[in-house]
Amino acid sequence: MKQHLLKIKANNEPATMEQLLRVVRFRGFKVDKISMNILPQEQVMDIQVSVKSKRPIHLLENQLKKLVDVNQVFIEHATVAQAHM
Amino acid sequence: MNGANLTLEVLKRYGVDTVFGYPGGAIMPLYDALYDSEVKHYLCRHEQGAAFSALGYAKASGKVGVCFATSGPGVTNLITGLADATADSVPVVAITGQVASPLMGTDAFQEIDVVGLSLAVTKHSFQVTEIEELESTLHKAFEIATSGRPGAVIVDIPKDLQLAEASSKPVLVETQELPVAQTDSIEKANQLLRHASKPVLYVGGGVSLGNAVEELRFFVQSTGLPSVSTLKGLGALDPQDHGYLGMIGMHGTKASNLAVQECDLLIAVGARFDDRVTGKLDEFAPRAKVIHFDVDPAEVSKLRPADVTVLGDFKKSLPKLTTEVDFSVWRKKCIELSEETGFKYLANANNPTGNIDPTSMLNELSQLMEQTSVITTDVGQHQMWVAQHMKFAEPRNLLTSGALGTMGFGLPAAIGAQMSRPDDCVIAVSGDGSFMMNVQELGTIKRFNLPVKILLIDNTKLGMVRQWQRLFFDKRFSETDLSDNPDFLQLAQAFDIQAETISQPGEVTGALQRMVKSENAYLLHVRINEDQNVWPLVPPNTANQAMLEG
Repeated sequence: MKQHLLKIKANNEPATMEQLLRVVRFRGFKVDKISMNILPQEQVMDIQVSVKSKRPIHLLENQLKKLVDVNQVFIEHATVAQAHM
Repeated sequence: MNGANLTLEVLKRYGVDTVFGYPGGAIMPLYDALYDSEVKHYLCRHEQGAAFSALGYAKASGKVGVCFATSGPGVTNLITGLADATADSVPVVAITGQVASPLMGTDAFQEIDVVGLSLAVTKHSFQVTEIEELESTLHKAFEIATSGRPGAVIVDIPKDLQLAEASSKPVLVETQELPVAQTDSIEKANQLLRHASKPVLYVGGGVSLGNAVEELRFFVQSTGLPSVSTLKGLGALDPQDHGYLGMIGMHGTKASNLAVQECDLLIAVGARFDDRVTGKLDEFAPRAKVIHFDVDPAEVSKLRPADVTVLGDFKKSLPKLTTEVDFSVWRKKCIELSEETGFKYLANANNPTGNIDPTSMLNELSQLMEQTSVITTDVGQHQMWVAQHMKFAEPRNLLTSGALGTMGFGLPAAIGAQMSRPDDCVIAVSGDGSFMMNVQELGTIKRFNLPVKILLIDNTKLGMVRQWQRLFFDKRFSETDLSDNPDFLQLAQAFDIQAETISQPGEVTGALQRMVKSENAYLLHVRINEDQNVWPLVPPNTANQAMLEG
């Protein structure tokens, strides 16, 4: 089980967060922590999600990049998740 | 001009002259606009029928399929069709009416959360909230549905916006060209090909979607590579090429499965290593390096890691895949394997068993019909028999629900195909289970006097499930008996469709001829024995060489 921090830039649309979280769940990842801000000048969502899974992170990264309203996905780091998490 | 008129204007700009749908309260302004429009609407008898007709129209023609439905149950009924379109990468735009804006989010009559409902089954979902956004949203919907890997897109339009005053303004929509594969990836692919001695080409539905059939066939012709196809890839490879070994996977030919298990290089083009293709993934093509051509990065190394990835437009990348290596010894071995283990057909006229053999019948139909004919299937044993025993000159001549495997697809898809190709013979091959799932669309055939042919293969069972019950569930035939089917001849007659039933092998040839020569709709009801099964069969989670052969 590995933990990854994803930094995502996405269009500020009503269903963006919902779609993002749906894909995270469907592709076999669990959310540990999440934060989202709207960058005022660009009207862009700045999202940070910490996820964990036994599956390789590129599987989620590729699926997120396919979403119409997701502009950028950056994987900050990977750590081995604690057993109790 | 109101929002509804503007919607139809945008459709016309995309060359849409045919839509399928079903009216209801929240989409009445759009249907009112249709009343005077050049856009021809085909009323189906269920929204799922409309979605599958749009899909059949799109698959058979290469155009975008468009369907309309009202809010609430109208949308829920569309969903299966949209899921099917997205799973099989078919461009479909669904326009749905929503309750008026002030009522949204109040659990109003026939209100449902369309965006929430559709996110998992569409490529994208839009809900229009301002009339000024309607036109640009529709443009984006067409662009998204058709670009890259195509799929279904929903545009949900509240009733008040359909009625709101709108003006058409020039809209600049960013179009996305397919990326061109990087030169170094093709060079790496060529290097692997140079060092291979037993390469096999594994072709999926992406070749047709990428309009690269010609380029693919040229590659095969110039290199002599043995090739196999997925269900969705059927028709992309030249069926006359002896090195083409047929369909791979759970119900694939023995030769195609054994060749792939033995190969040292697997070149996947527009294919995604689906579980029905690979069998036990860890033991699939165990000695092969993999070159994966695709347009969707998410499909690469999703299931089987690729040694070389070539991402981009096949039309441009396939011509650059070349080799001077002589593979004739390997090719000859594959062809001999194919000839030794290929399907053998017992002519129906000489069949002494008293039971019609559906495999011979479909093989005969394949030879009898015009090469421009379109075959649609439903899902189950008959679908696999079509895939195994019929030959298709091009991918657009076989419409089948591949990824989602949706029973009830065939009849409405045939209606859509007939609309898009009015001069071609369209035959829906179905089973008695699947046929009843969208049987109401016989009403659409009647209404528009469509010459759709239906070859209904009836074993009075849910045959594929029963086959698995026989093999893997100790012959406990739970809920797979359909011996109380309706009288299919009377059913056809109720819709003014000419029909006949056959049950003897000697009747097959004449009946098939009468069906294909008929100028009107025709239902040929074929009774077969309940113990006819699909062979070969690779049991689930088993390596492909361990196929059962009946």
